[in-house]
Amino acid sequence: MADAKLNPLSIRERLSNYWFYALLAAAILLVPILFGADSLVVKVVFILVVLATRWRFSGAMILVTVEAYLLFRTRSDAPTSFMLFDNGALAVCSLLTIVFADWFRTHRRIEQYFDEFRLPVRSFFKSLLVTVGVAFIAVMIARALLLLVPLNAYEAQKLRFRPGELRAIYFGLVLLTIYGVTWLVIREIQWRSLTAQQARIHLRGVLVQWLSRDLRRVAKLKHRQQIKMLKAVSKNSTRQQRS
Amino acid sequence: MTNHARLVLVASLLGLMFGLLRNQDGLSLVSLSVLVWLFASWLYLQYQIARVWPKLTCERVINHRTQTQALLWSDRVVDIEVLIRSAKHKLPSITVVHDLVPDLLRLRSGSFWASTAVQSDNIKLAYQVKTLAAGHLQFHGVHFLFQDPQGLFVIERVLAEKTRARILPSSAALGDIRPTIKRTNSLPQHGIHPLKRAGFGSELLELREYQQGDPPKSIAWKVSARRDKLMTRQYESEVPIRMTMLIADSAAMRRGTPGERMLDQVFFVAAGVAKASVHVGDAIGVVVLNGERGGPLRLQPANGDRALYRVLESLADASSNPPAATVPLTRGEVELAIQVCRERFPECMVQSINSPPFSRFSITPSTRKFLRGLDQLAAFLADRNGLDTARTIQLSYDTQLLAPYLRQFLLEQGVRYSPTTKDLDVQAVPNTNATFTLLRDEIGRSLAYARDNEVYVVFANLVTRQESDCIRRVTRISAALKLAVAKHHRVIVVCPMPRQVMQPASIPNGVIDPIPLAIQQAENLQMAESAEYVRRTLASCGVTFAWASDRNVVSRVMAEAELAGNSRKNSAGAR
Repeated sequence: MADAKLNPLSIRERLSNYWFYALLAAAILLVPILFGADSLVVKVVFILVVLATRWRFSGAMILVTVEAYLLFRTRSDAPTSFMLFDNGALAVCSLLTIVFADWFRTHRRIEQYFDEFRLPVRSFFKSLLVTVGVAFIAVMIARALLLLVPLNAYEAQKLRFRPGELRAIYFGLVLLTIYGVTWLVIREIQWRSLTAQQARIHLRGVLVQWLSRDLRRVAKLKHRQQIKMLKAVSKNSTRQQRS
Repeated sequence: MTNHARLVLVASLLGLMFGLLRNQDGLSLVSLSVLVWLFASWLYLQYQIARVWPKLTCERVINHRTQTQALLWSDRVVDIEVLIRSAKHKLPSITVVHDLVPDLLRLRSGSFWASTAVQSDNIKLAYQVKTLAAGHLQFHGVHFLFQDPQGLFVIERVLAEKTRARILPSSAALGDIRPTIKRTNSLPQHGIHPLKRAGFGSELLELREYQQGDPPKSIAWKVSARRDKLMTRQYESEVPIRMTMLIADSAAMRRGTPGERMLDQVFFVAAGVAKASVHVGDAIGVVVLNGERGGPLRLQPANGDRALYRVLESLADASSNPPAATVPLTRGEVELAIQVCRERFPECMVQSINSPPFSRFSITPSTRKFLRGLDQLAAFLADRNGLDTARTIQLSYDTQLLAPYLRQFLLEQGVRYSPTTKDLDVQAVPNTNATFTLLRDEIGRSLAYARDNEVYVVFANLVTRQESDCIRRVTRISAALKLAVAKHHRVIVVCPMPRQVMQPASIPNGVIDPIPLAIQQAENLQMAESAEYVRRTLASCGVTFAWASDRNVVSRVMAEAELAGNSRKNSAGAR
């Protein structure tokens, strides 16, 4: 810290503070988009939830708050609209608020343990820009995925489903497929990168699984016999001592 | 995946489901964006680690020297630096590094932990530690905790390393080790001199008639003139002293944390005695006996610095030896092993790799978790020791079978389990008996091979709170000690001082709690009575008694050696 005071070019600051400022900025952007003309009380409650992340809550709490608001306060029969400055802006701001809250939480926790956990301001701005960029991309991908499964009222009527239900099923299948393919690829990579020791332990586990019933019965029997023998020996020795 | 990530995942999935079902596009988009973000974070972290991990190297600098085999002394300060470098790519932005340090080292300054805030290609850990006790040291490696910036995913890895060190026992500063007894007027009385040979020493043994071949230098001219025949002066043979240290090791001696055990006290004194003996040119040997381990660790008396280092190395080896498998395994010991295994071999304890079949059910979650950990540990240890599948299951059921493998593993990892008083109450009695029987036999064996001037320094925990225990122990070895004294050898028994006697009762927050204080005083009183009994019994056998915590204990042992050299029975000169 003494060096930082002497040399203004190497100013280092607690990183979590920067992320908290970023979180506040994202929350302030989100409030008008999310709540619009809603009452002031709702906005204040949301800001309080965001501020509470400084002490206790994390991004998950903000996510739940946003979702709860969207679930109960927005119209359920609104037409599908994926304009970037409509739901897109809402999604980007919400995502950034959640991500910044988590970023702040993680850094604050690590700073408690490590004094040297400081970051040059330049690095912070770089990370900030990357985060905003990735958030945009994530929202675009999500939008593309949602557009992949459009609402098909005719088909839903034919299959005697509600339109939303049929879309949820289709979308679930799409997500499951993506998950399954990714899982297979990752599993294959992990399997191929197992160390010799890991492979041996895994193989041993499989063998134990196959033979477990028989081997356990034998092991238990041996164990019980040993206990019986020990008890008998101890009884004999106490008898001898008494006699 | 952390619990936080699980919460976010569940919230997002629920949000997406409700958004789709209720046709709320805003909700669906927000939830799906979060899901995509989660997936991207996980994928990026995996990619970063897959790229960085194979190229990571770790270099350890001990006392400003890069070495894989180091020689250290106990109770000294050691500077350690660990340099972690990534050859090509930068480490993930949040990387927490923890050096896995054996518990023979205690941190003095610096930290075992370090972290990065920005992506960097190296991390440096620098700290100062103090070596607590003699033994073997192995630096297992460096534990890495990679995390994404939001703390959603955590990946643990251990970068293994093979730096080893042997810590030799330190000793008290020798200071002035000149003999404490008077060197003049030590002409022995006739008839009881234990040395059977005449030699070329400086002390006069006797006068005899001149025989052809005697050196003219040894002719006593005045006496010859008086007796009118040539007389020759016969000098004492200055046979070098052979000092043998007999150390009776037991589970009770190993109680406590490293550096605070009775065994460390004993080794500290033994190292001092060895140094002093070598300094004055005496031969030094050591025998470490352990009732649980079986055969003793024996080193024949020898002279010189080489012998000294061999003795010190033997003591270091004895300090590292684990308690024997006959001692029952406790739950605390198993839990410690599971914890160590999870910390140091996280890749082998992952559920997807090491998944024992569901077999034992327990209602309480803690027991269920323990049994699952035990099964995983059994599989890990079975693999480590090359056991077959049937043994894997036996290990998880039979703790007696598991004990040697588990203890060996803990020893290799440099982790010591400090048994509780309850554990030791069960373990101490049979072990101690076996150790003292071994000690008796070893004294007898040494006497069979003994030469003229032998000094036996017996390090044994003879003094306990219960006088009956003391009587049993002393009785077991007293006959052997008497025999040694009868054969004109010198014997000194050094007892380690139990820690509770050395330290007064702790007084938290300055408030004196009378009950623990009274209990401790009572225990100290019992101990003092036992010590007095032991001292009197040994004195009646002609054996000197000393406490290992006594500052002058090395001088007292050296004084015994001096007495042995001068063939006197006590320091006042009487025989």
